Amino acid sequence: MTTSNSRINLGGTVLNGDRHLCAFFHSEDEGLRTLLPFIAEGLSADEKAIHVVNADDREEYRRRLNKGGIDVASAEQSGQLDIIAWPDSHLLDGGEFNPERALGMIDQVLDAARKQGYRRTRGIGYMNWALQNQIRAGALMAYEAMLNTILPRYDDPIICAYDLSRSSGSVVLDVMRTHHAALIGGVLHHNPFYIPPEQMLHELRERGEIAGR
Amino acid sequence: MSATSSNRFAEAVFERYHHVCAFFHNSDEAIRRLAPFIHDGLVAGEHAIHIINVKRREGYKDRMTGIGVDVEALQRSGQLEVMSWPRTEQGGVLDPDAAVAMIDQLFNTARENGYPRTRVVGDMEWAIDVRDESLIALEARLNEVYARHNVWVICAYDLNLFSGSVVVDVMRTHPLALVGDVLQQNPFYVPPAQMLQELHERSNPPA
Repeated sequence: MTTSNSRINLGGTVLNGDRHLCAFFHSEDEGLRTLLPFIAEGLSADEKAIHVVNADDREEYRRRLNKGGIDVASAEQSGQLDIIAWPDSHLLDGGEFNPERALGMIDQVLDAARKQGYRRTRGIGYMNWALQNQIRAGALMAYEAMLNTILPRYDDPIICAYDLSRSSGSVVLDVMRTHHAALIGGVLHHNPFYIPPEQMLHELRERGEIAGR
Repeated sequence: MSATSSNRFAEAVFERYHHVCAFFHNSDEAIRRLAPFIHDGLVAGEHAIHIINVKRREGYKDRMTGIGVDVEALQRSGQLEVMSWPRTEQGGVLDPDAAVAMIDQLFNTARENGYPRTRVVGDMEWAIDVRDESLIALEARLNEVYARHNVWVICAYDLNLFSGSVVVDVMRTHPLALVGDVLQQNPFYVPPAQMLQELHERSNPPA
């Protein structure tokens, strides 16, 4: 496996081994302002970029990236940038979000990027795809927890960006517990509140937020 | 009293920092997690202040009885004070200067009465009608009061009652956080002056 040696700058620091990151923002402007340097750095380093956005927001997102100085059209044409709209129908099971299918899809796109020869993928999930589409918090948090079982296979930094105006207190705290580091107020900190996926899933079952098995 | 002492509250970080935020999904979880903290203080002869909404007093007493704390006896002896937060001003805005003075006074009185330390547990349900920025400004300001007294203060937030935005800002105004069953030094804490500046900028965005 070839991995990139280039540094990853984010939130005023150089990323260490943390790869599953959460970011909290009060507005889309604040979010993009903080993430743009991270995005631009990866594209300049010939890394792959995968951005997951809420289906209705894709055109608007392209426009905002362009305004931020990213040449979206050429990056998409070359295959370097994928802007994926979620929730995709493949992720739904009887109308409900299926975390396992979403994990499978993430695994697949990260693996495909590597096979295409990219040394690294920078992933950003704009979590409005879930927050604006009545996806149950329990299923979403199960997905976040289980991502930690897949991401160690890659060396790719994945940022889950949460819009605070759409996130409940309960979701925010669970997000803190499922990500290795958190970007708050534009500053990235390693996160001591992280717990292993099995423990998080156990707690979600105890709270009745996901089905027991 | 059967003290189920827990050394997680005796960690070194607690000696340096005095202000903890704690997050819960319901009152039962809150009392279960906070019971050792409450017990340890009472057993050590420390003063206790519990801030409980008047409407919640009965449930509170039942839960305290459930963990072996006799609220009425402790109130008679003066070791425990159960109080409500003073009424919020019109429009959900708090007066931080008045709050700082009031808290200062409570701690001074406890010390004059010979208590080595005061442990405060605040059920933050009282603040649900307070404007977000007013609550966060108060939390930031109170750090200066807690720093000059021998106190440990836990602000208990029910996650079902507060927005994601408030929860993040609460994290940023408390140097320690109790999440799940672990008390941690909180890397997201920002100094009060910086937080107040940010709140000011948020309500007065540059033109």
